[in-house]
Amino acid sequence: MVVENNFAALPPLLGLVGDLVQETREHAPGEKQELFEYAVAAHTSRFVEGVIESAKASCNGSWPVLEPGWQDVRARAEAFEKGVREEREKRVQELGNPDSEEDFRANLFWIVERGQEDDLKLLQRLKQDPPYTSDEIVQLLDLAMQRIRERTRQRDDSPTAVQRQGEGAYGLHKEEWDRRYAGRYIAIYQGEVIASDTKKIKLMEKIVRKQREEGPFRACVMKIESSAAGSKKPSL
Amino acid sequence: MEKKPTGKKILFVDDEIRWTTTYVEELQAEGYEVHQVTNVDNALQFFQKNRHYIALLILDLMMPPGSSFTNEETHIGMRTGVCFYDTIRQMAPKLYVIILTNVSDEKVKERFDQERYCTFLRKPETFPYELAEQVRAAVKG
Repeated sequence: MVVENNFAALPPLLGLVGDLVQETREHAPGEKQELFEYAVAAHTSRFVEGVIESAKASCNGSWPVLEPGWQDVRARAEAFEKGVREEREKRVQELGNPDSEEDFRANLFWIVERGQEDDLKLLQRLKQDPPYTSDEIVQLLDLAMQRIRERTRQRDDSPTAVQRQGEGAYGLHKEEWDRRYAGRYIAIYQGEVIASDTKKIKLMEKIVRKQREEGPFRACVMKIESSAAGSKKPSL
Repeated sequence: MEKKPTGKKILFVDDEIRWTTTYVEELQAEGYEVHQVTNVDNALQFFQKNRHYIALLILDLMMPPGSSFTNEETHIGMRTGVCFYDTIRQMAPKLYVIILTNVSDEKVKERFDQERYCTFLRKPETFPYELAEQVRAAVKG
């Protein structure tokens, strides 16, 4: 921490913060990386703005000499924050209302790499009624959903998240799973059914066996009704 | 402020002009002549005809494969730039290439980090002036 009489430590500290930001970004997985970038951009922009205001108030006559440099820093920080945010908003918006297949494909490329969990609903809707039906587009839609789910799983393995992911996977495959697993308990892991059985206890034994073979993991267990009219609330 | 022309030509291959305008403007302001191509077929053709005049290539990775590459080898277009890079490398082993992409996969970055005449930059993290700095360093060296 910088103490009042240790102003000399500030420039090196700012350098350290820069390194910390860079290293954190490199170590942050998938989706968290982008959220971290947004947060840093927002903090940086506010920080720069604050320093500029203090500089103005403190420099009196000498401010005009420094102003172009500060304005440049401010412009870059603002452009960084605004650009990152706007591109994401525009791409998601355009994906829902595409002008051309080329733009749609380009936005899909982007969302495969940078899409977030919130985008899954839109992708699911597009998959059901795609504006363009070439093989590439259909494959890219699948890939985008798969990559987002992979990133989401990497991020959070808490019981709540596992349950939410299980419900999400069920929602995506409802028709098929209702038909295939009618009257059975299923265990969902990473968006796939990894085991099923008519008896819950038997299913739990299968899961434990898998955990012994493959190491610890959490799966979402749910019952598919025989009528396939609906399913019971999942339990872990 | 526009700088004096450097006489250096840059080939900029990216299928989305609208997201690259600020980069191109910055490079032009630095005095570089930038030739933008939005698909790999035209880019390959242009490169073959003008390879001796091109000082540097700036390349996106996620682009439609065109007729030069297949969906399989480009992973449905997600890695078209990688195929393009490999093709160009055979023709021009020492041409400096800057990969400018949205790809977040570390493995892709590592692959290009191992290349000698190549720099890997991610679009969301790269200011136009930073790209210009990289270009300046690359064409100097």
